[in-house]
Amino acid sequence: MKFDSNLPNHFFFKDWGKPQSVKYLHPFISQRGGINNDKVFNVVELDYGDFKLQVCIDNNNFWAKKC
Amino acid sequence: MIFTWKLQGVSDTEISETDYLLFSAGTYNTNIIVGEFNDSTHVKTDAGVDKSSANTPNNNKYISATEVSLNGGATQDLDTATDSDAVLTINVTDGTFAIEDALFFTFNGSSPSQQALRLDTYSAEVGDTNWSHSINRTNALALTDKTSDTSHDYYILLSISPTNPGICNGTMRLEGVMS
Repeated sequence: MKFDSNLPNHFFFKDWGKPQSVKYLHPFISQRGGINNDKVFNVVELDYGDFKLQVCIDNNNFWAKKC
Repeated sequence: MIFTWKLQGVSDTEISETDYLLFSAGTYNTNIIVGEFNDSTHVKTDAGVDKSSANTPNNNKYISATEVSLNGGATQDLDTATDSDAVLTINVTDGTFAIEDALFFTFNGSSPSQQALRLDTYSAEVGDTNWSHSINRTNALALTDKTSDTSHDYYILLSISPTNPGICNGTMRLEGVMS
């Protein structure tokens, strides 16, 4: 994957400055009638005001979602 | 996080991870006719024992999109049911925390997008005016957000109907985000 701040939706973290708030999200699953096999990973949500960025590390994979 | 699932009744019955919620036509283990809805609800252990036999458990029966029968009583508007009328309660504890975007639904136990085997499911949170046809995650019942506290309770009305003859089974799931 190529990162280039001249491309749409590509930014350097430093361009965004400090987020207004950082929230730690802990997804959960509870079941009855069967054991859960789905993976659940914690997420960090950075609130930049106009948008939020959710990031998650799944073992060797890094996920980022702009909300 | 600690999740405590209970079938409510005169006395509550805890539904442990190895237990099942059993819906019957009348008495324990009586088959429900295809297209009809449950007249009793029980907790069945993995060994097949009626765990809730002494607890007079609640029953929530789907009547129409906006109506329910509680414990065999007359038809009433779904949104008149109270916390103690709900068949299912789920308590969540873990320090002080909030919960957002919680969902409740049933599925086939392996893929949240797939309907449970021969099972139609309707659920509602106490206060809802309409049942949710919560047969998979896409159609899940959306639960009210919880503000920061040390303990959270969900009160869920639940009713099922077989879609075809044969053994019906599925998995109930609560999922959400704690912060």
